[in-house]
Amino acid sequence: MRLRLAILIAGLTSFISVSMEIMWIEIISYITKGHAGIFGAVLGLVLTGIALGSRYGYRKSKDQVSSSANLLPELLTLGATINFFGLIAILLWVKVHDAFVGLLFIQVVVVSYYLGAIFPVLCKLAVSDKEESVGQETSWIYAGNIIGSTAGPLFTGYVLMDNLSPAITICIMSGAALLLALIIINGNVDGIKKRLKDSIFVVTLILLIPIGYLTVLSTMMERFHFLSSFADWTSFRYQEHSRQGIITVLPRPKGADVFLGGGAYDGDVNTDPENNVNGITRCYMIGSMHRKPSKVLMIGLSTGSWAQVLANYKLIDSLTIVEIQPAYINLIKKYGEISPLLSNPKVKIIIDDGRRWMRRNQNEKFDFIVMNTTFHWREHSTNLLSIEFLRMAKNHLNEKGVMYWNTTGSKDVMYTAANAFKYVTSVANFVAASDAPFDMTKAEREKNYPYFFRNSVPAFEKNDSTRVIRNKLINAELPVLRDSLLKQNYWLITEDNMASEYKSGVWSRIMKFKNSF
Amino acid sequence: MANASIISRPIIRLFFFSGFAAIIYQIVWQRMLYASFGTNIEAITIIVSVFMFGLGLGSLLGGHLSRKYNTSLIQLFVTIEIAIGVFGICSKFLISTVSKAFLNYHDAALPFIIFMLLCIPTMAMGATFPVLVAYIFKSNRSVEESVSKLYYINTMGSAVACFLTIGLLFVFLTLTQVLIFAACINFAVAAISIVYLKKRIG
Repeated sequence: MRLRLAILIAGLTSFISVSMEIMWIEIISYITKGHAGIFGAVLGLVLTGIALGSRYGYRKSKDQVSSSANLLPELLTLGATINFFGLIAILLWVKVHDAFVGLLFIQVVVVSYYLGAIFPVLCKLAVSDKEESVGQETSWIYAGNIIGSTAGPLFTGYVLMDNLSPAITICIMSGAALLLALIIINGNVDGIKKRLKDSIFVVTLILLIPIGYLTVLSTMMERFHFLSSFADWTSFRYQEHSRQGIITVLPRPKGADVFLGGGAYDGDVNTDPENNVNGITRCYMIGSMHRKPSKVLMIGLSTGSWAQVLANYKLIDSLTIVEIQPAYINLIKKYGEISPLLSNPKVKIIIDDGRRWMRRNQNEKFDFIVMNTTFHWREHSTNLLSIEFLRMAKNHLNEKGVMYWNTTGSKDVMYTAANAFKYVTSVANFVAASDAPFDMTKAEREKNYPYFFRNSVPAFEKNDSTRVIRNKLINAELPVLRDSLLKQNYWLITEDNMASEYKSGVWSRIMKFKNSF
Repeated sequence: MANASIISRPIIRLFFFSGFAAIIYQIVWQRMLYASFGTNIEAITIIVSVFMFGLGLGSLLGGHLSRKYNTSLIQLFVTIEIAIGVFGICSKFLISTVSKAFLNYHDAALPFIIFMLLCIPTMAMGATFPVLVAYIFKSNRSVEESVSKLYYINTMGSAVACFLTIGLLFVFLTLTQVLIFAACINFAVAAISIVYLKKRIG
C-alpha cells in the first residue's frame, strides 16, 4: 500500500473514532447525569479498546501475511456494525432490564478495539523496512491519525452537534466507516468474487442504517432516559441539542414541565408560589434578604422560572443573566408563563461562561447575585462552588450585597461560603452569604412583597393561600450559621482539590466505613 | 532475534509509564484551562486540538530526529522525558500566569497563547513514539512489531492512567500534587532509561 493512502485511511478512521468518542461522552454523561469523572472514564475505555486493538491488528496481520489489505475493510465493518447495530441491541435490551445499559461501556471498548487495530495494519502495509526511514514513515501515518483526531472533534463538535441529534450523528459515523470499508474493498481486496460478496454485504449494512434509525435509534435519548419503563408514550416534550450539550423536557400533564440539562434535573417551569413544585418560594425569599436589590446578576438561566420571578420584582431595575447554553432560550420561547422574560427591557441575557464573564467584567457591581447551581457532584461544579469563585463573585457585590446559591445539600458548599463571607444563612437547600448581616426587620420585609408581580398582578394578593405563603416568607428565620459552620470538619472546596466533585462523596463513605468498626 | 527482543523489553515497558504520565497531564491541564476559558465547547476544542496538533507535529519532529540521531535514540528519549517532566511541574504556574496576563486582550489572544504554550510539551510527547519505534526496530527488524508493541503499551499506560486519575489521584491528591506525581514518573522513566543504557554499553 502506498504511504499516502495509508495516511488518508489513518486520518479518516481516527476522525470517525474520535467523533464517536465525543458522542459516547455525551450519551454516557446524559445517562449518568454528568457525574464527575465520566470524561476520564470514557477516555479510559476508548484507550483500552485502542490498546488491545493495536495488539489484535498486529497479530492478525502477522497471521494473514498474504492478505493484510483484506483486514482493513474487515476491521472497519466490524467496528461500524458493533457501533450501530450493537447500540440498537443495547437500546432494545434496556427495555428488558435497566442493567443492560452497562453494555454501553463494553460497546465503547469493542468498537475502539476494532478501529484501534487499523493503525498497526496500516503500518505493516505502508512502512518500508529500511532502518533509516522506519521512524519517519511511521510518524507520517501517526500524523495522519492525529490530523483525523483533531478534525473529528472540530467538525463533530461545531457542525454536527449543533445541527443534528446524537442519534443521526451516530448513523453518519457508522455509515462513513462502512463507506470507507466499501471503497477499500473495491480498491484492494483480491479476487472479483470476494470483492463482490464483501461489497454486497457492506452495502446491505449501509441500507439497514436508516431502517435502524427509524425503528429504534430515533428514540435513543428517551430509551436511555426511561430505560425499562420506556414505552411508546414515554417521550420528551422537547429535545434541544447543541455543542453545549443535550436538554430534554419531560411533560407533566397536570403540572409544570421539567427541564433536564445533560440528564440532570434543572428545574420545573413554574413561577407560582402556590404550586411550588420547584421550590420557587426560595426565589421569592429575596424580598426578605435585601432591602433594595436594584441590580441583580443571575448565573445560569435554565427554565427561566427564577429569572421570570426576579424580572417581575419591581424593586429590581436590571437583571443580567449569564448562561452558557443558548438552547435554553429556544425552549423558554415555548412557555407563555416564562417567555415574556426574553422581551423584558430590564433583562439582559448574555451567552457566556459565568466565570469568564465575571473575570472580563470586573467593574460590574451588583446588589444581589443568584445561582441556582446544579448538583455539587457533577463534573466542573467546582468552577462555581470553589472558594476562588466565591471570592471573585464577592468582588462584584456592592456594599451590603448578597450572594445566594444552591448547595444541593452539600455541607462543603456551606462551609466554603462561611470561609468567603462574614455572614452566612440558609433557606432550604440554598445558602445566602454577605459581608453585611441579614437583619431586615419584619416591617421592612413586609414592605417588599407587594412589589412581586405575576401575570401583571401582585403575586401574593391572589388569594388566602398566597397571603399565607407571603407571611411565611416574611416570618422566615434566617439563622446565623457562619461560626458554627467554621467549627465543622468539612471540605473547603478549592479549584485545586475539586472536593465537591471527587472528594466529599468518597471520603464520607470511607469515614462511614471506618466508623462502622 | 529473541535476544534482541529481550534486550529492548525494559524500554518498551518504560513507554507504559510515559503514556501514563502524558494522559495525566492532559486531564489536569484540561481542568485548569476550563477555569481559565470557562467550561464551553471552545475550551474543549482548543484543548483537544492542541493535544492532537502537538502530538502530530511532535511525531513528525520525532521521525526527523530519529533519522538525525539514529545512534543515540535512548539519550534523545531521556532528554524528551526530562523536558516533559520539567514543563509538567512548571505548568500550573505558567498557565495561571499566562491566563492572568492575557485576560483582557482580544478573545482569541488567550487561547492562542495557551495553544502555543502547550504545543511545547505535547510535541515532546508526540516525538517519543517514532524515536522509540526506530530504536526497537534496531533490535527486532520488524516495523509492525515495533509499532504495535509500543503503541499498545503506551496507550495501555494512558488507559490505566485515566481510571487511576479519576478513581484515586483526584480523590486523594490536589491538582498540583497530581502534576508533581506525573512529573516524577517522567523523571523516573528518564533515570531508568539511563541505567538501562549504561548496562547495555557496560
